[in-house]
Formats: sequence, C-alpha cells, structure tokens
Amino acid sequence: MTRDDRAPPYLAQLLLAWTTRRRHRPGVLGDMEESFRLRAGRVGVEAARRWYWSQAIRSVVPSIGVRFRRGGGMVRMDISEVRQGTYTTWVEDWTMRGWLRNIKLAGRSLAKKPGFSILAIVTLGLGIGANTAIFSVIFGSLLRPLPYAGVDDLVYLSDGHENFGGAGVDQTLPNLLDLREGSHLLGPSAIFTYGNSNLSAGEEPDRVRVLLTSSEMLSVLGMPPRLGRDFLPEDDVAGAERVAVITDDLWRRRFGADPTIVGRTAIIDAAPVSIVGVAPPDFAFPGEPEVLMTLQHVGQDFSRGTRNYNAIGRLEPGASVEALRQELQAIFDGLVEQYPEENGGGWYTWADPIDTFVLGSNVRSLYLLGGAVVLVLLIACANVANLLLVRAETRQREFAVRFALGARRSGLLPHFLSEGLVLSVLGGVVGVAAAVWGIDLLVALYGGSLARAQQIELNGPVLAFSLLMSLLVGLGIGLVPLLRAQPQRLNDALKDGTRGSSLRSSRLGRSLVISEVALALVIVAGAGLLMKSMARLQDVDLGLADIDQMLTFRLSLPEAKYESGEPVVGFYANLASDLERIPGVEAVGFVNRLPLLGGWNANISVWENPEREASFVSFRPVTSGYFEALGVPLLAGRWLEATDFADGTANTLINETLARRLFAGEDPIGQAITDWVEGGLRVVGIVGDVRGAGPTRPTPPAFYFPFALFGGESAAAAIVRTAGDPAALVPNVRQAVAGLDPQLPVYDIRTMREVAHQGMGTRRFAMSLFGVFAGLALLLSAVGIYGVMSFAVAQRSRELGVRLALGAGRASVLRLVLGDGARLIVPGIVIGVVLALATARLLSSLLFEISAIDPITFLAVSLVLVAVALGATFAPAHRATRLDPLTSIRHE
Amino acid sequence: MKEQNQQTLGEMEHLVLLVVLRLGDQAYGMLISEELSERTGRDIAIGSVYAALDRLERRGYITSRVGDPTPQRGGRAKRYFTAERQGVEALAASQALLLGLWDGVELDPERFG
Repeated sequence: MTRDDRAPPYLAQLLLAWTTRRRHRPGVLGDMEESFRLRAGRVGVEAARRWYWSQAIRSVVPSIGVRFRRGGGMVRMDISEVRQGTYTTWVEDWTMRGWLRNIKLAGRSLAKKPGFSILAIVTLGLGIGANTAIFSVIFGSLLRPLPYAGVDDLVYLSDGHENFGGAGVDQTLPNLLDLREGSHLLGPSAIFTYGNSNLSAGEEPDRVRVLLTSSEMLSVLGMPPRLGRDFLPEDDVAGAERVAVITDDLWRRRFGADPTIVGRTAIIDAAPVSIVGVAPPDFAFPGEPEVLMTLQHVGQDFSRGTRNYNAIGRLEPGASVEALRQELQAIFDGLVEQYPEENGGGWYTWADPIDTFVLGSNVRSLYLLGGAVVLVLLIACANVANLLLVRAETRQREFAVRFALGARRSGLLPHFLSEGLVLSVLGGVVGVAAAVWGIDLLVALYGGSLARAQQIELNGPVLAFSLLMSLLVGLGIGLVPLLRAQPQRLNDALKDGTRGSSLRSSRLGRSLVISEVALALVIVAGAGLLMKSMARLQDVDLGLADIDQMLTFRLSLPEAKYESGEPVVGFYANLASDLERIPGVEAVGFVNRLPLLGGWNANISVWENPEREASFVSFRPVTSGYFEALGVPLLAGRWLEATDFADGTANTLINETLARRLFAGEDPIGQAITDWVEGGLRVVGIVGDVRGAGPTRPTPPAFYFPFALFGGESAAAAIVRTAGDPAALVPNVRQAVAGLDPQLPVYDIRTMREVAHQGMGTRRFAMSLFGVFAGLALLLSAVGIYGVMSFAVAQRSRELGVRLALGAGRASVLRLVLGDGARLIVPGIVIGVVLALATARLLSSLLFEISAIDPITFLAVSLVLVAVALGATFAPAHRATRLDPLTSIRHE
Repeated sequence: MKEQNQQTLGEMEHLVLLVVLRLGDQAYGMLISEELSERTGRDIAIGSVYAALDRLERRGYITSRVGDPTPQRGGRAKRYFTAERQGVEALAASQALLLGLWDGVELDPERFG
C-alpha cells in the first residue's frame, strides 16, 4: 500500500496549503498534522479526517483575509447615527464569523428602510427571475447534453434547395442508399421517416407518432432497448413480420409498465404488430415518436422522386463533417448525372452535426432572448446601484467622520459588499420563486415551438446559475457606492455644511441612468421590430375568408380496412354528408393536406405544349366542399361540379399564380396540364391564390383536382366551416366519425386560426418575450430616472428656493428641471440608437418583410422612450415648482 | 500611509495574545490552538488563529521564530511565537480599560429572573 491511511486527507491539506500565506504554510500544515495524529489516536481516523476537513474549510475565509492584509476585528459605529437611532455598524473582520456578522448587520440596517429594500429586492428579483426562466429554457433546450452516445460523431443528412430555404429538406430513399453505399467517411447510419398510426391495444383507439427507421437506428444512437431486443436486419426486409420498439413513456402510459410486454401484439393501423422491445427512458428523438417500426425497405422499390426520408449516421474515426459533406456531394453529383429528372434542378446534399437537427431552428432566437434578458438585468442592477448610491450620498458625512478617524476606504468594503449581497440574494430568492411560475407559463404557452420542451425545468444547474448571478449582481452593486466614498471628496463634505455642492455632481448616478435609457432603447427597439413583423405577418392575405369560422381535423384510414378507391372515397363522402347535417355547419371539405402547411409538389407542363413548364407546383386532391369551406373565390371559368367529383373526371382548377406562370396572356380555360393522365387535366376554372406553404412563404402555383381522381387519399384533413364557434363543434365531429368507424381516431383538431399560427411559434415566442422585457426595461428605467431626478430636485431645493425667492417663475423652474432630465434622456437615446442599430442585424432572421434598421420603428421607439422618460421627470419637476422658497432655504 | 495608532485588540487577538503569554517559550500553533479550544470550549479554525497571529505580529505585539521539523508533523518545522513588550503593554492597557469600566458595575443575574 502506497498511501498512508493515517495521513490527513490530501485534498483538505491542499486546500489549507493553497489558502494559507506562504510564510505560515509549514507551521499551519505541521500543526494540523500533529493535531490530526493526536486526534486519530483519541477518536479514530474517520473522526479526525472529518475534523481536518472542517478546519480546512473554516480556515478559508480568515486565511484569505490575511493574504489581503485586512486588519481590525473591532466593531465600529458612527456616533451621529447612534444619536439618530438609525446607526449602522459593521465589523472589519475577514473571518467567516466577521462576514456573517456583517451580513446580519447589513440585513438589520436594510430592514430599517423597508421601502428602499423592498424596491431594490423586487427590482433585482424581476431581473434575476427573468434570467432564470430564460436560462432554464436555454439549458433544457440547448445546453443539456443530448442523451446519445458519442454525440460529437453523429451527423444528420438532408438535401438542400434554394427554393426550400437551404438544407434540411427530406431526401429520397434510393439516393440515401446510394450515398450510404458510396461513402467511406460515413460509418453506421440509419434512414428514417415519420408516420402517424392508429394504435389499439385496449379499448380506446390512440393516435401515435411513429418513427419508421431502418434497423440500425438504436445502435447508431448508442441507445439499446431497456427491455427486449433491438431491431435485426431481417426485420427490415419487405414482407417480414411487423415488429415495434416502443418508448419508455408509451410503455408506462399505455401498457402500465408491464414487464412482460415483450412478445405481446398490438394492433397498429388495423394490422398486428409484435412488440419486441422498450427503448431506454432517456431516449429522445425530434418529433417525439412513441413507436419505432422498421421501414422494411430491403427488397422493395422506392421512387427516386419521393422526398420523404433522412438519415442519421456516425462519422468514421477522424472524419470531419466538412469532409463528409464534400464526399457526399461528389457522390450526389454522380446521381444528378445518372438521374437528372429527379435529382437535377438545383438540388444538393448536405450533412450537419446532429445538434442542428435536434435543437431545431430556434437556437438563434433563444440566444437573442438570453442577450435581451441580460440587458434587463443590467438595467435592474443600474437601478439598485443608483438607490445604493443615493443612500451612500446621504451618508457622506458619516463616511467623512470615519475617514477622519483613520478608517481606510477598503475598510468600507465588507459593509457595502454585505449590503449588496443581502439585497441580491434576497432578490435571487424572489426571482427564483417568480421563475418557477414563469417557466411553467413559458412551457405551457410555447412548449410546442421549443426543442426538448419536456426537459425545461428548474433544476440544479439552473439554480446554480441563479445563485451565481445573484452573487455577481451583489458584488457589482456593492462596489458601486464605494466609488463614491472617497476620502478626498469627503473632506469637502465635512467642511461644507450644506449638502448641495457635492451632490449635483453625482456623475456616476447620472451615467447609470443614461446607460439604463440606452439599454432600454435596445430592447424596446428589438420588441418594436418583432411586433411590426408580427403585425405584417398577421396582415398577410392568406387567401381564405373568415378563418375564425373553420375547424380542421385529420383522419387516417388504415389501409388494411379501407382499400384505395371506392372504400376511401365513399367513406369521406359519407362523413361529409354526416357533418353537413350538424346544425350550424355551412360547408365541409376534405383534402390530402391542409392549406398553409405545404404539401406535394411536382414539375408540370402544358399537355399540348410540353415546352411550357412550371416547377414546384403544388397540387391537392379535394372534395366538392373544399373551396366553399375555405372561402376561396372563383375568378374565371366554372367550379368543379358534382359530376366531376362523382366519377373523378380529369378536370382541374388552377390558381391565379399558376395561370400567370403557365399561360401568360392566354386564356387557360380549356387547356390541359400535366401528363398524369392521357390528354392531361383539363382546366375548367381559375381560383384565388392561397398561401399554400404558409404565411411567410410566397404563394406557390397550384392546381386542384377531384379527390376521387387517383383513388382518394386514405389520410386526409377536413375543413368544416360553421356559422358559430368552431371549437364547439368538436364533440359533434367525434360523434360523426365514431358513427362511421368507432375504431378511427380523430386527431390534430384545430381551428384554422391555430393552423395559420403554426410555424410562427418561434416568432411569437420571441416577440412576446421581447415585449415583456421591453415593458420591464421601460418600467425600470422610468423608475431610475424618477429616482435620480427626485433626488436631484431634493438636493437642489435650496438653490431652487433661492431662484423662486428672487422671482424666477414656476415655468422657468419647471424648464430648468426638465432640461436637467433631458440631459439624461438625450444622450441615453443617442447611445441606445447607435447600439440598437449595431445589434439589430442579429434579429433579421426573425423579421418578416421589414428591415432590421427600419427608420420608422426606430423613430417610434425613440419617441416612446422620450415620452416615458419625460413622464418620469415630470413629477419631480412639478414638485420643484411647488417648493416654498422660505422653507427650502431655511432647511438644513 | 496613516499610522495605525492605538488600535484596540480584537477579541480573537486578545485571546491569542493571552494564550501566547501563558504558554511562554512553548507557544507554537498547535499548542495555541489546543489551548484556545480547551479554554473557550469551541473548535477554532486554524486559519483564524493564524490570522490573529499574523495581525499581532504585524503590529509588533509578538515575534516568531522557526523551530525544528519533527516526523509527527510530516517533517514540517514549528513556528514559535513570543509576546513582545508592545503586546504586553496593549494587554495591560486593555486590562486597565476593562477594569476601569468594571469598576462599580455589579453583576446580579438574579435581577433578570
């Protein structure tokens, strides 16, 4: 055995040695070792080790105190304050005991000024609370490590195209297989796509999100099942028995954590599937799938035109993402040459670290919010520092006496620091309490648009962050008043009986307020830009009429029960007529995918003239009530009629944009498009444009054809237009569906308004929080200005009294004080505008049809700030005009 | 630099200085610590003891010298402390001050029930 287990604990020795002054190190360590041995003999080694640790820890503060050469150890108190009965005392003692004492004394002196203390604590509480809440979101959503093994080597593969906002677009399965085959830098990988399925394991049918993946997924992520087995390559062969791995959550929720689950059969989409495993509890995947099933792609042909797949893979040791990108692109270039039809036209392939995929698109907005909320905290700190400054200001003579008696400036440090720390830690407590509530609210309101929302909570690291922040704030605000306690200045304070002269020059306090105004302007400008964007976004003409009168929901008919063609078409026709019988319902339409949410695209041409092409044309099979339910107008020609729908005649309606794109200057009616059927689809009318891909995307060219034309869609979305409140229809809708098929779940029930807001989640989140922060910033800076101006007026009351006595008008006094206020406001706004212009660029990805330096917004924001600031100045200014000259001159 | 004149002894300095006097030429860290703990009935951190010793030494109330290393101490040398005249004077002043203040004060705990 090499280590002497009768020796003092090594780490504690290290701590002692590190904190003790070098001169005393041998003495201290030797003494301690001697004592330790004695004790070990008396009470045992364990107890002696505990004692040693306690000694080492309790010695930290006094020993560090020695290294900073703090002396004293006596209680000092100010006689004048004793007389006033408001005395503050402190100990100049850097022992732990001394600090505790100082903190107790600071607490007591703060308790004597409850108004001041509560204002300071609440101000800091708001700042720290807001920071805690945002940090918990950033931590849970972004910083917390992903649960996968070897995260740094995991990559996410996607395709990119300029028209679809760059990379992140789904890929085709054959391309992926070729890429995977050809790459040397890509190690094991798994191809996946999402689906929704009807799960019936008990009575109630359930809609579950399914991850359809090649067999390698769990092993690529390094997350083997907690129960049962992983997928095997043979599970991935077309026609093999259907098997599923379910998530821990579904296992608990749906199967009561049944330990014998493995081998049981569940009915998924009306077909039996055997459950072979349960994923580990920390398994998480974007989109929160609950069931994993194999793609069964082996031995099956997939179209190179269907972009519906992505892959996750592991880099080979030593390979970089950049190198992989280049390698994959080289392979993809070959595929473009080989299959120009499917892969040409601007497509490229891409690889990203897995974080990009898991954390989603709101990384930037979260960090922006983090930045904004730090600014709010800075404003809060400036305010409290100002309050403390004012307090220090009124105690100038006390300090002067102390200095005259030989106190050193550093001797005041423990006192001010203790005050700062007491305020900030209490503020932290208030803040954390507020954050508990704030986090719940944030997750409830915006959980849907945040990555890993279920991980957002007030946990250890978040609390540690709040504590650290509180301590930093305490140090910061505690040091500020010390800057004002300068021996040389204080001589004047002693000599000068009046308080006036030294106080007008509180340049520090004034610069604090100027910075507050500047910081507030930065936040308010951000909020203004985001609000204006949101307003523009709300004003976008979606092409739909009265979207508050539409209810939407989705259904998915299991293919095992409803064959394509008559069974599917007939089901939706029956459901439509049942729904139309509900009182208040005006129209019912079905479509493969709701407008505003994107959908299928194709490159099409005119039948008679194949040279005339249009790319990325959206198409939708619709039932007869579709346009009426959405309120889309007919611009030319005629509607599709009952006969068109009944037998699925190859007639079509095109939108205005497609009419322009394909038939500029000609009449499209009677022409035919696409080569999908012999003779093409005959255009019978032109309908109004709808923002098919969402409010932020340009209107795509589009055409619509009868639902029955290609056998119908087993998964469809319904739009029900009602005269009344759409949400009130939900029970009737469920009843109507259950009347036709009790096993069929109705899912994604939303009003059209909610659909329109989907995808604006991140923007709304950023805008609302920026709005809240802007409000806080305005409030806090108004309080700051009010405080400084009130104090300035109080300090100048003598001078103002003299002016009034000498015949100055009230108006001129008002002007004087307001002018003084303007000297705070104007520089603040100028600095703020410069800062905001410099940083507004960061916001641009969240803005919509507005420049990050939009002059009107900046002007409006500056005016708002001027108004608030002048408002805060006005009350003290008004008070100044009410001064009674006699009293104010006699006073003091 | 201001003169650190006539600073009152802090409580810890007071105690440590008295113990150094009591222990005479045996006064080194461990014994001082043990004696203090025994007399006050609380386990005082070694860091606080040395902090007080450091302050006393800087004011010239005590001096120190380095002794021999011993194996019980992991081969580290002892530092012995000796009270100086100024230290004794400070104690005397403090004693006189306290005695003066005590004069005429009668402690009657009964009075407080």
